[in-house]
Amino acid sequence: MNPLTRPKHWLRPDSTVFWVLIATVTLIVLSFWTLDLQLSRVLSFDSLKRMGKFLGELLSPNLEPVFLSKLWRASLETLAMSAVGTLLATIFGLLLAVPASRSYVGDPARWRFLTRLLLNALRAIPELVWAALLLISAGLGPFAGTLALGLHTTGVLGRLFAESIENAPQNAATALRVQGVGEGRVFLYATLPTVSPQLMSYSLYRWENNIRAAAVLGVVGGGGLGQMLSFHMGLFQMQETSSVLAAMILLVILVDTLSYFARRLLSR
Amino acid sequence: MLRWLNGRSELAVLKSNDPALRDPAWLRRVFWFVVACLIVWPALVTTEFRPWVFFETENLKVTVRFLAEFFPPALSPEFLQLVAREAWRTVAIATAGTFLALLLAIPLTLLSTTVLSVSSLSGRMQALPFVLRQLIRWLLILMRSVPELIWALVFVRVVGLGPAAGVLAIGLTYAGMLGKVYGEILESGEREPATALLRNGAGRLQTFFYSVLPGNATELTSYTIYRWECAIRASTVLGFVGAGGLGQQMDNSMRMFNGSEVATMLIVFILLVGLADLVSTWMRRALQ
Amino acid sequence: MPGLRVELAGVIARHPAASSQSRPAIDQLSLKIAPGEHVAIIGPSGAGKTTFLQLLAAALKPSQGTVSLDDQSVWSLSTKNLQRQRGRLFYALQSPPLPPRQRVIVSLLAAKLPALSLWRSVQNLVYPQYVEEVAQALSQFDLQDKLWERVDRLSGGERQRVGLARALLAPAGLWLVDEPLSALDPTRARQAIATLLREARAREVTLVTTLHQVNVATAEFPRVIGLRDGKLVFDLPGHAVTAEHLAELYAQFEYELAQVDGPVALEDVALAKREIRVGCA
Repeated sequence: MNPLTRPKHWLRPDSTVFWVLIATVTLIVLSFWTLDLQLSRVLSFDSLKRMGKFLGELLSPNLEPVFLSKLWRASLETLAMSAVGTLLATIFGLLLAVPASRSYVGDPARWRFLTRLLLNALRAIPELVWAALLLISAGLGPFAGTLALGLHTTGVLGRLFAESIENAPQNAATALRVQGVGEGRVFLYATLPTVSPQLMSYSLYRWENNIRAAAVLGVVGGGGLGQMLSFHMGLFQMQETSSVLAAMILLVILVDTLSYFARRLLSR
Repeated sequence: MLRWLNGRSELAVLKSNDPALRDPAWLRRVFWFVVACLIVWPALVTTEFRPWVFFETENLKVTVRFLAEFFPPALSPEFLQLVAREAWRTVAIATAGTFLALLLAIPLTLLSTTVLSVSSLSGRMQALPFVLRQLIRWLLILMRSVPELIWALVFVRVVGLGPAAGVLAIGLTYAGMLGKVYGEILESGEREPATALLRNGAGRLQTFFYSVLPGNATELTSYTIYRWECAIRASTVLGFVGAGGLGQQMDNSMRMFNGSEVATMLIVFILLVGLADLVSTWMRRALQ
Repeated sequence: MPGLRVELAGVIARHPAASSQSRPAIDQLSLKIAPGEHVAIIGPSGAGKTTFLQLLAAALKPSQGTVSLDDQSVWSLSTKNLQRQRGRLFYALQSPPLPPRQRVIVSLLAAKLPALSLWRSVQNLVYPQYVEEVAQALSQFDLQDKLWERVDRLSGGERQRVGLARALLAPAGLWLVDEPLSALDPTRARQAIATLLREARAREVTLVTTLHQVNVATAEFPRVIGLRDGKLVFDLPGHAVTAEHLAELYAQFEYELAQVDGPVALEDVALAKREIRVGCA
């Protein structure tokens, strides 16, 4: 073969990469085309001016003591929601992870399929949708938000925990099984001690996600900072809104830091 | 009975004898348990944790009626057409939003990464480039910290109801997330090919296209596709504040306590998420 | 707990993952072990030593033949009775089966579980009981000051000795010990073997050990069994094992003949570890 002839181009119709690229570009173009984005209105001078004014108003937060004390209580409420939700999810996630995992090769694990299905269903539905559903039954307030967080996170943690249990080193468990110890106590004495650092790490990491979620759940009526935000924005009270936003950002940073240090402490 | 007595006598022995036989971690554990209880109890009170609320007569009636309507889910052709249309809207918002995020994230990543730093070729990075990079990083953190729902609320006020608010909200928040992770991918990847090119006088963009991008392409695209999947979920959630799509329809139906419509949409949503997962796996495998 | 009598009759066994056409790990093995006997199993890698222990531990079902403990065929028992029979065993894996962040005392108490009620088991996790007994067991292996330590804070040799100390707490009549000396230096190795034999004799338990340290096996054990390729090569009193026997047993594997007084060849440990992973499913 003549060494000067070009080899086939890497982007040719019979390579999968080509089709993936075509599909992606088609999807993007179709999306922009079918969406009634009204870009001309969004990027109009008037709209940009309004955005500028909006942002300007956000830069002067309300710092009166009365308001700040309300803000403080709402922040505690949001923090409590995220913590209780994550705690519930850790407990129930662990309880569901046990039937959802194969403890050893050859374990019939009769409940595995159903439990995994349940966990996937809990996971698939976003926290906000859960909250909207629970509000119907439980009424407005942080309780619905906490449960919503708990339900969704149970699905997430339950699946992560089950995978951890299945991938855990089997040494300790095997030694006890050989002695004829029942599966429950094998779990307590061997499997759980082996995987518990990883489980705690997952839960703490999930708390970081949940504080963000808790902050916004209030918008649909779940209490806390979200409810305050929705309230003040509805009344166009931009100064109060900016205070609430600042509180949210601070709370998120606080929880991120706590979670990071807790995970460092645990792995020592 | 004998075993119980044995146990008690052992405890007695423990309390009186050898200090080496006492559990050093016991007091510490009791302490932390008490502390935990002292924190959890007020937290439960603050979140108005009252599970019995579900069983109050009024609430129970509403719940049962709502749940009963779940079977059968609404399956009339017009409704299914509506749901299909809204489902596509949701995907479109997610795609447009992720695309916008990409457009914003790429220049921000390029500006904030140290892999393309020319001043550090001769030792330490100089002050001004360092400060600039740090500022961009702080900007990315800020963009990430505000949940997209909040952005959506703001944009709904400014540009009105509709998909534009959702696209912008996802675009901004995800730009922050993409920017941060892209930065991490680049920083933890190989630097030598890029440094070599820069040392030989290549421009920063040239270095990017010839060494940085090809070297990290798989990881970068993999994460971007994963983010697109998350965007589909997010855009459903944003619908609850007026950004259109499946979420907005679900909100409408829930306000009307129309259980059968909600059931259909939940099922479609779960299927949509599953489909997106399949598509994303196919794409990621194809790009290996 | 009086020692168990062990009997194998015409046993053929394969690893769970191996195809039925491959060479079996244990090939037509028949032997008897009397209650309270101390037996050492030696042989090159792949001889089936670990598989042998797994058969005795009822952890591996033979494809042919019977394994009997106290004249009862293990695999013909009902599940409940098999579990009860298992409670009379103790199996020390070569890689100590200790969860890294567990404390030594709880790891040792875990060996006592077959004899504990559910309430006691859970109580031990919260507030450990039987502390004196555990301290006594640890002092036999010179580890009494590690009573409350975390397992991952111990050295490899200390962890192995903790694994051996568990035997002293198990309510077992049969001790199956896999390579007890692989991570121990010569002095500790001598102490460990001496302790195991002494305690086994005091409690009248049957002791079956696999060893790479051939001279320890022949010097300390009244009965030495040589395995190669899953078959029995010889079954002799320790002092009757000659250099010819060993040469025949370890043909082409001479580098594995490690001496307890010399450094244990790293290859031995690595090879032995590979055996474990292939063997335990």
